[in-house]
This record gives sequence, structure tokens and C-alpha cells, in this order.
Amino acid sequence: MEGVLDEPDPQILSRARRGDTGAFEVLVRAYQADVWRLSLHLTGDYNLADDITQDAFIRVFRFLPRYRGDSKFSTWVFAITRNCALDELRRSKRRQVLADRAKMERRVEEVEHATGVEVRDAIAALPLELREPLVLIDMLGESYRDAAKVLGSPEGTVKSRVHRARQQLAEVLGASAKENHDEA
Amino acid sequence: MRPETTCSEVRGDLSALIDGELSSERAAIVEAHLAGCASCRAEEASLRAVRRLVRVQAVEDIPDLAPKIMARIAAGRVQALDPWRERFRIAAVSAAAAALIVLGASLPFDRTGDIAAASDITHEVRAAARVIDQYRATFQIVERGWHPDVPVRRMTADISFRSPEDLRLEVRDRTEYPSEQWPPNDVSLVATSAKWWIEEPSSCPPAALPQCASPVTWAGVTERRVVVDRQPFDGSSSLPTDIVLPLETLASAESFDVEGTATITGRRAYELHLPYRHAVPLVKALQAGGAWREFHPLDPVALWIDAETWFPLAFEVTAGTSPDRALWAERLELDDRPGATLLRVTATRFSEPVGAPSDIFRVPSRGLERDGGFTETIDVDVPEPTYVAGLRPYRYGQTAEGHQLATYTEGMNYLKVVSGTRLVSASALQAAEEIELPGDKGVAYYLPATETLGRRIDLIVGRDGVIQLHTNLPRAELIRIAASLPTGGRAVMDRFVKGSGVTIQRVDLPGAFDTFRFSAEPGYMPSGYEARSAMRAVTIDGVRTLTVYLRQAEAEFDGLGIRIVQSAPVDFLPPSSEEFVEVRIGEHVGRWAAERGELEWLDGHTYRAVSVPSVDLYTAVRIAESM
Repeated sequence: MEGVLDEPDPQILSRARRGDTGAFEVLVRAYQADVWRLSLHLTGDYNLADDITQDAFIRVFRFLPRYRGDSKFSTWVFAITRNCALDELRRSKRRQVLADRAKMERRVEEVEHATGVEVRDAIAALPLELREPLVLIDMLGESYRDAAKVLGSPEGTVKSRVHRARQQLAEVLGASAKENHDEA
Repeated sequence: MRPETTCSEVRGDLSALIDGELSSERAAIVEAHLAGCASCRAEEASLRAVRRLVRVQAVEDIPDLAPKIMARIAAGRVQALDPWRERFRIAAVSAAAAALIVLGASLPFDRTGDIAAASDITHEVRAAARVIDQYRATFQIVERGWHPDVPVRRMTADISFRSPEDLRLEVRDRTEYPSEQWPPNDVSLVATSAKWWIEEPSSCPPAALPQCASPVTWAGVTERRVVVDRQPFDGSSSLPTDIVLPLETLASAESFDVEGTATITGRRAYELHLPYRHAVPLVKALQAGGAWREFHPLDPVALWIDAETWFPLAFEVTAGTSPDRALWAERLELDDRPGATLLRVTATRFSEPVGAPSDIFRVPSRGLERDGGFTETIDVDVPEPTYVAGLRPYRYGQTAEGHQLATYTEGMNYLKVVSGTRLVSASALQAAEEIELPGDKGVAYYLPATETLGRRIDLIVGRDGVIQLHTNLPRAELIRIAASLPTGGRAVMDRFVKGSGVTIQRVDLPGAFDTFRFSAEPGYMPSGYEARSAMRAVTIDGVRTLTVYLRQAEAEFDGLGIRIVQSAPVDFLPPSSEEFVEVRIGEHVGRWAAERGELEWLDGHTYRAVSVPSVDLYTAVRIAESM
């Protein structure tokens, strides 16, 4: 499935914890796609996503000695990413950017099916608290439990929010969702 | 087959069913319902379709950022945390995430076109304090009325800050003084977590200038002091961080008004109005050393705060206009025209640099040395709160007195946990608020922030153990942190007898004013004040006294709040050698000791006194007349 990562090799992890940059680069390469996607969908801005991804990995590197395996590594990395993204949102007050379609479409690949853009816009239009669990669960393949850890909210909240997110999307996408379903 | 469960019971579970997140029992129930309910099946199908669409979305043109990340790490700008920090137990930190999660709900408030409410600004400044990393700014200072011979002084101040505790402040005096005898008001302050250094002109009372200063070079009249082994977030060598972000100045939404928006140095700003007594940490931030003019507690202050970064862009103190203020100025021999601008501070530039040159915060070691007595060690036994508001473990060690301490920080925010015996005496907690901690954690004693110390909670544990929490987080957070300590607190001895035979006892709130038949309750309290502590005392010859402290919730920069003392039987006001002013309070004549800010009067055989901070007679009379 899309976005589901195996836990990192314990040896790589332990070398990275001791400051081995080669080992850390292995982790960056394994996780950067998901970190970037999470950043993008939380902020809706490609440039911010690039910045946040970098900042998040810098923080991961700094705090790695403190990661002690209480959670999955990906969960821990996503929590840090989310913090960087929220910091960035707070700092640059770019919430309005979320609704800024022009930016969202800027780098959309031309080959992509038109429905893709529509869905992307619909996701971007969700309120942050619904978008967060949706992105974590559907795009990054996190379980409800791990998503709850990343978000620091109860599992029940995550469950009802991802459900509400999908309901809202179903409403917005109505026709195209059905169409897609019928094809399938 | 008829569904045994209703649609509404099942629908909320449909997403979880699709995701395989339901227990097998629950899944079976939902599946059974679906088998017999076409409309729920349609809903499920639509949710599945959406889920698939979202998952297909996951294909993106993802940039490879690894080279940039690795370059930043290789450039040495990033270092992994010290290994000693790693040894600190992060209280099981629910998935390490809790320690890093920043107030998910505190996104920028929507202020399109609206004037932000004071509480929004308080909230935003707090949020900004949490994320601040580095800051540099230059301010221009124009001060009037410092000395009769020097009507105007002009200075510049450069400030650099790196969270949580590195700071450098340079004040350079550009004033043209009447002669070279006058010492320039040049001040330098450099501090890091362990060391603190200041260079300033020797203190000469303005009235004694210029004779008091040595005329040749300033070498002999410049003082240098250094604190080594400084305790983290030490109040006696504190850092003037309110000029970076006015966290304490704006700690309580009740202490300032939002006047409107303005454009200051090309930036959108909120204009806030507050009396000097609430703005002390901000105004005094650039006055960490040297000689400066005084302000009356009620002198109006206007502050322009950047609407985006929440950094202060400018502030201005003007002379108040009350008769009370005129008396005060006369006493200090100040010749201020009411309404005149006394101080104006304007930022000429500010930035949040990434990676300042590391020698900016190098602390010089010349100077009169004081040992802060702090020994850094990981071998401390400090009770650990399970909730630390997302702050990260920082430094810990032992004080000269043998108290153990642990600190936590994030951005500008800090929490200090100190544990030891005989940290505080019972009488010192009289003016503190007794708080019932949530979760049956007993009681704790709360004190608002002062000019140099953070908000504080004391827990009395065991026979003479004390756990003290110091922080610049809001009161509500502090209480939550205190309640998450492994040990609960107990009440200070309920009743104690002083050497002189006076029995003192804490009185429950509310209803404290009903303690004695003679005690009266004021109908008026200034905004932000509440009765937070009350004590009753009885002397051996039967004089009973009720003392009630009215205090603010977050911060008080002017003493112990408002104190109301009522005593009976008393037949005359205690003799006093002080100068006082006679004041009419309803049908009684009282006396006002301006120096102490106390209004006293006799009401039959009852003595009443209202002590107001910040020598404000108007407030005292208003409270007195409402009793």
C-alpha cells in the first residue's frame, strides 16, 4: 500500500543516533517523501513543504539521541514534522494559502488525471483538524493508533475525524466519487 | 433480514470498518447491519470510493531534499543533543510526541479587518514565545526629564537573543552632555546559561551629578560584575527578554487595552495602552543597568506590537495627569509637564537570524565576581511532572544550598522544578493563594510573577520538604504541571503561633470578609484583582485582625497586590513619624502615607487599612469608600 514504511534497520538507527551522518542520510532518503507529503498537505504550499521537510530532518537529527523507541520511528518523525509545519503556519500566518488554488495547481503534473486536481483541492479545503488525520491515515498509511500519537489526541477523536473528513470529501466530490466507484 | 442495529449507530463506524480498525465483534455487528441495509451500503461504498481517491492522490513529484539536509548538517550548524540530556528520563513521554507537540489548537486567530481582542494578543505572544529561536534588533531611545541640566538624552540599544538563555544587550549613549564630567550611560550585558556579565556606570544619584562621577576617565566609574555558575533562569541575574517578546507585560489580557492598529516603521502594528505598572518588564528591559529616570506607576504607556511577529516595534511613556502623580513628582523633584512624552523607544530594525556568529554570546570574565553556586549534574533527585506543557528537558543540577533542580524549556518558555528542605517559611506563604490541585493532589501555594521572577507554585511535602515550580507559562498551565507531580502537596500548618503570642490562621475564601462581625467587604476591586489569600490573627490581649490579599492572576510588578487589614478593638491610629496626607473617606478622615501607599482610618473601634501597590491614592479611596 501507498506510504507504509517498514521500521528502520536498528543498526542504521543506532549509528545515526551516535551522529553518523551516513546512516542518517539513509533515514532521510527513506522518510523524506512522506515527510514532504505531510508538510505539503498541512500547509498547502510547495515552497513551505520544502522548508519544513528540511527543518523537520534537522530537528530529527538533533533529537535523535532522545528517541527511545516508545513509538514507531515514522510516528515520531511525523510528530516532529507536524510541529514544524504548525510552527511555520503560526510564524508565517499563511493559513489563507491553504485555500489558494493557484499555488496548489502550479506543480501538478500535466499527465495526471483531471480528477486528481479536483480531489487535491477538496482535501486542501478541509479544515486542518480533519485534514491531518486523513493525510496521516490515507496517504501515509498510519494506523488510527499511530495517527493519534502524532496528533496528540485520543484514538476516538482520530476515528471520528477521519470519518468526517471522508464524509465531507464524499459530499464535495459527489459525482466523481460515484463514477470512480462504478468503474471499479 | 432485519438489521438489529440502527443506521445512526453503524454509520460512525463505517470508516473504521473500511480501515480494518474495528474489533472483530464490532465489525461483525456492522457487517450484519450492512447486509440488510441498502442505504448504509451506499454510504460505505461512497466512503470506500473517497478513500481510494485520496490514496491514489499520494503520487507526487517529490523533490529530493537529502543533499540540502545533509549539507546543513555537515556545515556544523546542527549538532545532536548532548548525550547527558539523553539520560534524562522524559516521563514516558507518550511516544516522544507529547514533548514536541505545540498547542495544536493555537493557530493564528482570524483577524481579517477586526481589532484583535486583548486575549488573542496574549495568546499569540505566548505562541510566539514558544517558537522563537533567535532575535536581533536595534532600538532608538529618547528620554526626557532625567536631570534638570540634561533635558534630553538619546541612546541606541542593540539586543541579540538566542533561546532560551543567551542574551546580549549594548546600550550606547549618544547624548551631548553639558561637560565631559558627565558619565555616558553606556551599558553592556552578556549572558549565557551559566554566566552573566554586566558593565555599567557606577551608580551616582542624578542629584549628585556631575560632581559624584570621577572626571578623568570613566575607567574608575565603570562597574563590571560577573556571575559564574549561574542557576538556570535565575531571578537575581535575570534576562530582560520582554523587549524581545513582551511575554510578562502582556501575560494577562486584563492589564492592557487594544486601542487599534497603526503602521509603525512600515509594519502593521497593534497599539496597546497600559499603565506603567503593568509595563515594567518591557520599559525596564533596556534599562538592565545604568541610570534612568523614574516613572509613576500610572503613567500611560502606549506599545506598538508587530501584528505578524509580535515583536515590540515601539513604546512610549507619557506623564500622567492625576494630582496624585503631581505629588509624587514633587517628592522626587521631577519637573514633568502632564501629558509630556518622557520616553520613546523605537525599533529601527529587527530580524530572526539563522545562525548568529557564535562569539556574540561570549561572556567576558573581567569584573567583580559572584558565584551563583550552581553545579550542573545529572545526578539529581527532583520529582518529575508527567505534564510539562511540551517543554523539553534542559539543565539540571544542584544549588549552593543543596537544593536540587531540573529545568525544561522551549523557545523562550521555561519551567524550573526545585526540590529541597526549608525552601520557604510558612509565613512567607501568607500572601500566596492556596489552590486545590485537580485530581486529589492536595494543595499548592501560588504566587504571580514579579518583575524578575516567574509565576511560582510551592508544594509542601512530608515534614519540611518543598517542591517549587517556577515558570513563565500561564497560571493555568502551571497548575496543570503541579497536579502532574508524583507527590501531592499538603497545607502549611493550619494555625501557628508567632513568638509574640499572636495566633495566625488561614481563612477560607470566599466569605473571608465575613470572618469577624467588624470586618467589611469592599464593593469595588480594581479590574484583574481578586481576594486570593486571607489570614486571621488574634493577639493575647484579644485584638483580632483580618488581613485579605487581593491579587492578580498572572503577574504583579508592584509588590504584594492590594492588602486590606481590619482590626478591632482599636481606639486610635498607631502613631507614625511619616509624612501623610489627610483624606476624607465617606464620613471618616483617614491618613494616606504616600511612601508606603497605605490608607488608614478608624471606623468606630475598628481600624481599617488599604495598601495599594504603586502608590495610587485614587484606587485606595475608591476601595475604602466601597467598604
